[in-house]
Amino acid sequence: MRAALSTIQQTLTPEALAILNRAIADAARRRHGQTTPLHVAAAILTSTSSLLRQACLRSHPHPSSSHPLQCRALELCFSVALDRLPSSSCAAGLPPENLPQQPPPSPPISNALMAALKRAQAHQRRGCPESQQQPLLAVKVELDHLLLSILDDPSVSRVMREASFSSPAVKASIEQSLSSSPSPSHLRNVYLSPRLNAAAAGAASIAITSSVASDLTKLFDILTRSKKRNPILVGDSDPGEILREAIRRIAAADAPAPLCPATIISADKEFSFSSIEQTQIPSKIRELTALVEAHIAGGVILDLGDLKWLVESSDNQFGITKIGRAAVAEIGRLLTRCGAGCSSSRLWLVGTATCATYLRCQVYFPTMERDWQLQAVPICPRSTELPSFLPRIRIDGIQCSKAEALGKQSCFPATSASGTTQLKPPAILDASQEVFLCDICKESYEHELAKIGVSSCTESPSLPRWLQVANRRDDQVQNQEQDLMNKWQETCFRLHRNALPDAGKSSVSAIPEVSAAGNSLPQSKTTLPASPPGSPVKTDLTLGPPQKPLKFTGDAASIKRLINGLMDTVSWQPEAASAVAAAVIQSRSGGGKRRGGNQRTDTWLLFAGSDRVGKQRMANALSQLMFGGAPITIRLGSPEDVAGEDSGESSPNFRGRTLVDRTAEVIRQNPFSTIIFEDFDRWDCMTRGTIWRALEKGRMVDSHGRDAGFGSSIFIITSDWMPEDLRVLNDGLLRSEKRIMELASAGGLKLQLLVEETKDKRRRDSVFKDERLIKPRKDTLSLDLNLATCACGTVDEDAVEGSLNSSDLTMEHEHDIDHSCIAAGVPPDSSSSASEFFELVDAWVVFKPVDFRPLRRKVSQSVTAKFSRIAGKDLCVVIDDEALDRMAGEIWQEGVADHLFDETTDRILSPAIEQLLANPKVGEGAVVRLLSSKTTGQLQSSWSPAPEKVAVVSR
Amino acid sequence: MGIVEAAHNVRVVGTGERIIVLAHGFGTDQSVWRHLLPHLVEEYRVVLFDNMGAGTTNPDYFDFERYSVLEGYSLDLLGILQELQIDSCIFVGHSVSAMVGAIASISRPDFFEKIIMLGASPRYVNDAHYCGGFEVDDLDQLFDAIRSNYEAWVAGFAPLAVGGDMDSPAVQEFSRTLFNMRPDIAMSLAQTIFHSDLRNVLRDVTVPCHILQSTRDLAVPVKVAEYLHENLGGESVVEIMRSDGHLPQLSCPEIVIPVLLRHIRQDIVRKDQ
Repeated sequence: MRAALSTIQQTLTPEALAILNRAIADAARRRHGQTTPLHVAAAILTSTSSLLRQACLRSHPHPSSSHPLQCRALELCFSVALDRLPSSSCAAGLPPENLPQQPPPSPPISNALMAALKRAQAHQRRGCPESQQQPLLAVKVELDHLLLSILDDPSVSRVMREASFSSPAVKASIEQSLSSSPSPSHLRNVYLSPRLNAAAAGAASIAITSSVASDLTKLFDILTRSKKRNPILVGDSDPGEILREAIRRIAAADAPAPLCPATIISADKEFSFSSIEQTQIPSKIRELTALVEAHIAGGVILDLGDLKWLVESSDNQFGITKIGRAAVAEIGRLLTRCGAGCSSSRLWLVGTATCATYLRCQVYFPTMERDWQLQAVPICPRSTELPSFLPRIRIDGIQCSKAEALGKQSCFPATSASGTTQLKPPAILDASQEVFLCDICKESYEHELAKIGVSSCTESPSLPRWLQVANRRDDQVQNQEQDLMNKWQETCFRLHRNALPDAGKSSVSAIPEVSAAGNSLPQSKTTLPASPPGSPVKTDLTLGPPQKPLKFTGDAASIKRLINGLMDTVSWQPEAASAVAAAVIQSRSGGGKRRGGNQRTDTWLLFAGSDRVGKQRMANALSQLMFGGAPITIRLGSPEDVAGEDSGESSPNFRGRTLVDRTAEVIRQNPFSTIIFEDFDRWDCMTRGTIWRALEKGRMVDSHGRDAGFGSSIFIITSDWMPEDLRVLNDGLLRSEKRIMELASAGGLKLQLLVEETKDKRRRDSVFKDERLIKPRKDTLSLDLNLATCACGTVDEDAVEGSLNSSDLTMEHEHDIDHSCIAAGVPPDSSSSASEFFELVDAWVVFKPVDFRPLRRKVSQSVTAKFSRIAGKDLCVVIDDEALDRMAGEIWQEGVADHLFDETTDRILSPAIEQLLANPKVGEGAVVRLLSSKTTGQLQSSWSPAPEKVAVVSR
Repeated sequence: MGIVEAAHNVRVVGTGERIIVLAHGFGTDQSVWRHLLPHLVEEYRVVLFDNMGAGTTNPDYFDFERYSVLEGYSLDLLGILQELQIDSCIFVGHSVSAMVGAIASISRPDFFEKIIMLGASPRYVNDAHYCGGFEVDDLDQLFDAIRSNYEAWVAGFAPLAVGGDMDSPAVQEFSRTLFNMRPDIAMSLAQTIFHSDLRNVLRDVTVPCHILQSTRDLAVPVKVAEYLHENLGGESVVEIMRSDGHLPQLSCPEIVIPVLLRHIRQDIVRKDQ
């Protein structure tokens, strides 16, 4: 330890060594076991020059209130701290009274002090540019550096704190005076940003209030010290004000003693540097120096004014530095002549500068600060205040908009939905939202939440640091969490509707009205999540599922729900339903067709086949299940075909806009919806080309060149086409279907009850033949067919004609053939463009022809049951085929449910039957025929939508 | 590592004896030199650093007053050179950093062997006898855009500055570093740069300057290179490169890197020698 001490002692300058020796002596006197940094600090504090004392005073937050007594307090604190240190063990073994004359052995250097000494050495070496070549011992630690490293010691800073001094602040103060010292051994990085300096020193506690009083105190403090005593007030907020006040006080002798007799020479006023030509400055400086030297005896305060004239020149011909450097050098020489650097100098410089000006001076005249012994006094409090800075410009706007932008990204769908802006259930904002998640969804939600947590952690290093520092990061994560919760709540709500009790009711009745689905273009703008008309919970519409794409996250429940939903709705097309569900699921889970080489989120389906009602229902159900809203239908057929319909081709809304424009607009407005392009078979080649290109590219460009992206929409193209083999096999069904649909679409169903007295009239062959269609099942009509004949022409012959051509051969095999949906069959080769479509779409789904026999059977059963119940079994009822078809067709199209159908027949037929019974002609053996009547002005009522009564006609 | 090195993310790579300092411009960081760096490391010691205010630096260190003039950045540069005890270096400055280096060289010409300026401009605003490329109104619109929506501005400015479409990697890269800056700092820096006028100090720059300029550059018209050449106080040479955009070392490395290397390796030959 002794050897270590002697080595250390060699590395210290005599000044520093003296302090260390005093500290060791003090420790010995106090019989302490070791010499600690506390001993050194106390020694420095009590030394005559007392660098520490000055630094403490300078560093105090309120220089005006600082008092010599405070340093006395510091001394006391150190004294108390030293008293508390334990005595050495050897002192315990050898009590002092036993050996009073023997000088106590010098206590060894403590580890902490040794570390501090080494730090000081390192500090010192770094200050020397040539240190790399120097041997270790050649660098002597000066007192300054010893003090700096002592202040770093925790025990010392604790004591300082007790005396209400901050050692980082004191340290910063010492460093400041060091950095401005011209001594070559103190070469420090003068270019360092004050912020970095402060950060390096950790002097976060320096807080300088900028009241005029404290600035003045600071100013006079600098003027009265020995080194660096020429203050330049630096700030952008009129630093000249404080300087003028200081000069006024000096002139009024209201200032510290050495300043008062001084003459004040205002260089800027008397020589007007800022207004004269640059070339004249050197001569003006010479005049100035002469003037200063004339007054130097009593002291001179040279007010240089704003230093701008040194660095700003309006003249490009001369660089600023040539003349500026000359001026700087000249004033520097003046200062030297007047004894700058020693406390007896009678010349002071004062001046002001903006930050920019002062920085420029530092750059262009790197020696000026040193030569002129300048001390920059920041006037703007902000420039010395530390990390909690207030930015100069109003940044709120920027940051807000940025935050906004971030927010936009995260909840994108809310802004992009069509007319409906309020999409989120208000309940989402509730804190108790988790209640609404079912177990499956909750699990998925938590799974994704965990992923967010991970990703936000891993992403954070790439984020700008300010994002990490600020709370905003947390907000962002919170937003993500909120969005995720919303997403899952919506998904859960959509898939497992029982979850949201209130909103559930309005949406459970999921099947939309056919009329709602038939929206033509103008209406589509305001397409809302459909709710059955007259729903008691209409106000809950806003609670309906938002038009967000349904995500298939491998969640079995969601898939099951989709399949079941489609199956239930279009029960007579189970194969088609499962094919549609499979295609949608595959497409949504990323396994869709890669059109144009890209993975896309839009889904394209082609619904083929004759079952228009089935296709429409399927589309409605799919839209409802996927997006919670009705589909949008776009008719692309040629004008002839749609002229009769109110599709709005002539509507003012469409004037001047191409079909593509309208389509693109609808797509743009409804990014999350099901869009039906009807009647593929009637598209002209232009339309086919347009849609085909759109299908291929995933977006549509309208005539203005604007893009309409397809997003996650589902597009359905409907076509009447069906595979040839299916068509041939089901010819009979097709005909019957066609006839029924034609009858139904003709509208105005009217029924007649016709009483025939003669039983032996044969039915017309045509009717008879038609019955054969359903003959194989003997229970098709429960009526007495052999007796049911009609000789009169009440049957619409035209309507019947079309259904007469079925061949017995086909009919016999009809039921042996499985005419299932042939989704994987051969695409039609009838036209090349059509086959291209078939290749591009995600799936083409064939709807098999509808077998109306069960429905007809049901209708006839229902009607017969009515008659027999009211009129008794003896009344023979014949239902005309056409009437049966029309009733079935109406029921089919309207989608009337079974029990409703019974009610309807009951309501309509019962009065008619009763009326009929009142007719005396109706007796035993009479035959009553239910006919579809012509519009002959007879007493009839319409079935459509619900005929009030049935005309009873007697012959 | 000292506070200066830490604060500026200083990296020293390479094994050569001579020292090259690479200084990035507005809206980027030291990664902008990615294409150049591999060609230098075997021949030189390369010093890379981030300017204060870049997205990779601690915004707490950004002193809005210090950096309201380019001289503040020059002081930083001198601070780094002094911290690293670099006596002399070849300085490659891009955009604003070229001028920052030039200013620093006025203060300490001994630090700079030569300065290679890539897309430098002493003043961006047009004047009666000077074509800087911008009108005052242009700048007001620019500042308004930065202020109102930084993200949107970045998305619009990056393709313009780089001279490519939004999908190009260079634009993506510039957008990334530009967006990394804190908006208020970016605003302050943009104001400092676009309001700077260093024409009257050019004469004081005495170290040799190599002026490299893209043919098409949104921020700097080709005429500016000529102006620099005519007004710099020391030797200078101009080379106009057949590259596009203000960040050609990022967007057209195949053109720019060879030119940069040639100017790094070869000095200006005095005519009278």
